Amino acid sequence: MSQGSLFSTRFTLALAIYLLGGAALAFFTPFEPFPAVMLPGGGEPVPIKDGVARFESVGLWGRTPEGEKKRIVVSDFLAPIPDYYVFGVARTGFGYTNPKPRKVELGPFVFRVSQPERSREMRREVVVWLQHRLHEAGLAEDSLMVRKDEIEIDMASDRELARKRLSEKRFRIH
Amino acid sequence: MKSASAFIDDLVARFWRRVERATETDAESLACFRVFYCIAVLYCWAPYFSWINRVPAGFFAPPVLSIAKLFPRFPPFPFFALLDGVLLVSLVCMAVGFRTRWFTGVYLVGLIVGQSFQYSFGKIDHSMVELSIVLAMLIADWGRAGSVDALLGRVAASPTAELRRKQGLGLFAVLLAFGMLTAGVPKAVDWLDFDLSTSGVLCWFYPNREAVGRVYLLANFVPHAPRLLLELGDYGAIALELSGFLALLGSARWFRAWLTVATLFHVLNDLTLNIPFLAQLLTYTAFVDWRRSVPRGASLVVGLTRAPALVGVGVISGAAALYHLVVRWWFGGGSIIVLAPGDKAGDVVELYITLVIGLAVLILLIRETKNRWSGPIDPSNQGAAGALTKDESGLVSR
Repeated sequence: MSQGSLFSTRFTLALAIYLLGGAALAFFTPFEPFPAVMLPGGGEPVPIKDGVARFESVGLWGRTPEGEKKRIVVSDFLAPIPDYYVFGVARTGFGYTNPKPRKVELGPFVFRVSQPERSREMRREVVVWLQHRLHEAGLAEDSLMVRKDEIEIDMASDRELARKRLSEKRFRIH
Repeated sequence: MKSASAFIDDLVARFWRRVERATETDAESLACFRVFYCIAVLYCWAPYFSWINRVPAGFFAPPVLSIAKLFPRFPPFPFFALLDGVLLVSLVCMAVGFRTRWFTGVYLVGLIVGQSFQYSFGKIDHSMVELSIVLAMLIADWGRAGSVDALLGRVAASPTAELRRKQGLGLFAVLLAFGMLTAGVPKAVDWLDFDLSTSGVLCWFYPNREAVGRVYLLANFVPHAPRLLLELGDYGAIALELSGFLALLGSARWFRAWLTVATLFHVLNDLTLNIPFLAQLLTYTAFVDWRRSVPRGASLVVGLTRAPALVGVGVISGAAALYHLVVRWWFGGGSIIVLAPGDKAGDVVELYITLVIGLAVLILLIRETKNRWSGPIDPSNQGAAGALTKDESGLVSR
């Protein structure tokens, strides 16, 4: 250790490699390690034109027994899973389908990392759980949709002006 | 080659000397912080992983680079119930300072294991500050004063005790400043556009309000905020998050001022965006001189050297731990907050608790910053190597 220093040069270099390495993986690949020293960053700024804000949002939808689409209250539906995990849960196949291999591009190199497959037993457990949750929400037990919308809001009145569906992933729960 | 090595050694030594001078607090203040932190965590942010056993294993999608990836699925019941128990008991032992280092180590390992599985739902929460403070306090040995260990004479005099305390605090400050930097850099890239027709702050507001219903406290005022204020919010967040190292390498005064502004930032986030950073707020009080900045702080320091106060700490912290264990093990429910259900209502309680504690921490840090700026000597203005000080064993160091 250098005289009068809290930590040695060797420790400091190791710390720098750990900190910068973790951050580099998180910023430039889909493989953010845990634990890494990271705090929540930014996101695409919301454009505002003539007092109208436009943004994208992910929501869960089901069908009523009459066949109408109905928005699901995420916190009730996912509990005890924290509601803000909804984006991650949706991205990883909602515990129902096998997640797709993750594509990684590092300059000219492109490779895919496979995700763990869900066994028949695991899938069955998810089906029962989802059906129960849909039933509790008064919805048909065989249909769940993860929908990405583009929403326009008039900021002065805080009223929704338009909603455009960008994508919709349907899960047949059976 | 030798001169290059010497140059780097010198640079590293200068860096850590500056960090040391900016983060210095005494062992007694660290004891007060330990009690405050552990009790606050037990009541308002208790580790809670047993809910994972109540969801289907099919949701298991661990990050590629994490401990959980070594497992094919979530560990079966009663793994997480037992983990909760170990963590809660560790917190009580840490609060009273019983086998403090040992239980701090257990708590750190348990927290990493639990969080590795909790973040296996396709999202990693950025709770590094929570882990960093425990690691730092493990190094700092925060049970050397005001603890059962000290009362029973288990704390052996050590010439390295003061160095370890400084190492812990210095390392935590560096991890905190780096963490803030990782938040500030992407914001600077995306948000710094000098364009009133875009808002970075709103990208944290509208999508979350829409998806998970964050509409509490002052959230409804956000859309009506002047455009210029929203833009200044973008730049304020960036400036704060990028300036951690500047403040840390500046002086003890600047670092306390930066922590005060960071606390205000978290309180505003809680009020407007409904994002509670309670665990992070609590850690900032590690840099408070509790004797000077806390009302009756001197009495608190003296009180913690006596058995009745430590019994009181044990009863208060034990009651919270017992509550959590009964609710989780007996009733199969639970949450991170005492007396709050673990559903949406619990989330709202969390926002209010964060507001109240956030304001208390803000007042504490304003007093600390004021004391640092009005005090006759700022440690950072002392000589390059710092003043000669005595550690607990009476040995003079640097």
